[in-house]
Amino acid sequence: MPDKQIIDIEDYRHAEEASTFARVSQHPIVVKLISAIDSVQHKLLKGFKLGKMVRVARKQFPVLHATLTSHCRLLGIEPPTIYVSNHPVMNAYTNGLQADEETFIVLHSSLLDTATSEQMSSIIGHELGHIKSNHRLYRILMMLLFGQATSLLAQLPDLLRIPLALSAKTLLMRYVRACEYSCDALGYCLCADITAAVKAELLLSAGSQTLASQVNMAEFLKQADELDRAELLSKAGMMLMAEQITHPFGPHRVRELIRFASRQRTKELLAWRRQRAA
Amino acid sequence: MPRDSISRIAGFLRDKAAQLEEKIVRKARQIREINEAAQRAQEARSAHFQGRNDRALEQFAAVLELDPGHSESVSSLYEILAEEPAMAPKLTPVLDRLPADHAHTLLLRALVAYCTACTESKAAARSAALKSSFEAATASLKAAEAGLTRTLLGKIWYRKRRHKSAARELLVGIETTPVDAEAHAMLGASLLRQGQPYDALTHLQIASMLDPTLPEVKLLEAAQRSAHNV
Repeated sequence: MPDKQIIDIEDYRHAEEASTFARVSQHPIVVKLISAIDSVQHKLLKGFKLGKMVRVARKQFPVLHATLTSHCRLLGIEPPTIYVSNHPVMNAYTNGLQADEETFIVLHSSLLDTATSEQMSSIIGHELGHIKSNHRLYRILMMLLFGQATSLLAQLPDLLRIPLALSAKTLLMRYVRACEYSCDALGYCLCADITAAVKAELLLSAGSQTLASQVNMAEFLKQADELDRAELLSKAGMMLMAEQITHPFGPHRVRELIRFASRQRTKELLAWRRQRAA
Repeated sequence: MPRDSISRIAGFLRDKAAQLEEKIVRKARQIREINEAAQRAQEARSAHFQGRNDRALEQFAAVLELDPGHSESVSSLYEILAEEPAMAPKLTPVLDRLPADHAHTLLLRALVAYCTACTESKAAARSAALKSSFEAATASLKAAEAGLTRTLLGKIWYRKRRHKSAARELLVGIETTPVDAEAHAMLGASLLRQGQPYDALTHLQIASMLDPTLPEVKLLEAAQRSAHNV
């Protein structure tokens, strides 16, 4: 990759995200409207974040700040603001439409207490993936389109309306979950350590570093195979659940991450990353 | 109703009933064969587990005769022949009885050609047989099956300590068999021997997560040291 300067979306985007999103069209006016509303929402929330959370800066949690700036340099984006929130549930999330100061990442204190620095590098990389790929913008857009479609469908009889609305919602949530696969892949590319990236997934699945380090990976991945081969009733249950959940199942995430790490193209990308770091 | 129409309808119904009867008989035969195949597969599995490769090969071949789409038999035959390539000629008569254009027949033909060449002494014959048979087979297969073939072939090369060839095949194959711990371990070890510690490290890490008992996992520390020294 001689002329490569930054990591592109196509380097890590999951095939399913690309194919699913291709089915949904964009509307430029709606996009601008969403950006304006989102900006107002950020300004309203800024006081709360400054008052209740700790903002990461060069002299505040310097390791996190260094990880953030080095990742953003590789991605060619403006560093967002990271806030640390006092929260007992291990989690991290991103809010914002484009890479600028208004966009922010929130890391829960329990996650920071538990995860290693390599695992945090992967988790921050994952969150940056949402920003680089404009996932929030697309997600809001799709939800608006979905809302519009649902109100149009209201004229139809229930027998037609319910299956149509359900299939549209399923497709929308499938896109949302596919985005997570892409970001997991980017988290791995940025931390360049497959063990850390997988353990970070396990940490969020098992909820404990001790348990995550003891998880038998082969058994965990068997759960993914069993989910794929689930009987009809379980599949129906999963479909109903899938309409609500925003993240793919843990075993699927780990399997997809290993699949991504096994690709020849990923190895080329990591070689380029090492060269840049050197 | 005119007599002609009645006899036409009766004829039509007779034909339909005959077709249906034929279909039911065919379906029943298929079910019988699948059940028999499952039973034989069970016997083959236990023979393979006990190391009775001769018996296992016979049974898996019989399963394929009953059900040419039985993919477990194909991969088990790969494993058996990877351990004992000299047994390959025993499979040839079975292959003649299988549907010629079935993906599994093509795969196994390629494997038999390869194993036969392996047991010959000349390297040129080996590589020529390998090239023609595997290229012909993989070209006509679906991507997933072709990937599986490459992984299995990579494992054969690895066991023969041909690390360059093993890495070449496994690098391609592993994209379709990403949770195969043994393939990751073998690929990691092969890449390490070829002076590619970073890529080796990734595969050895995956192998160690999937199956820490694999012997190649011991190379993980060496890969880490080499990667840091590069």
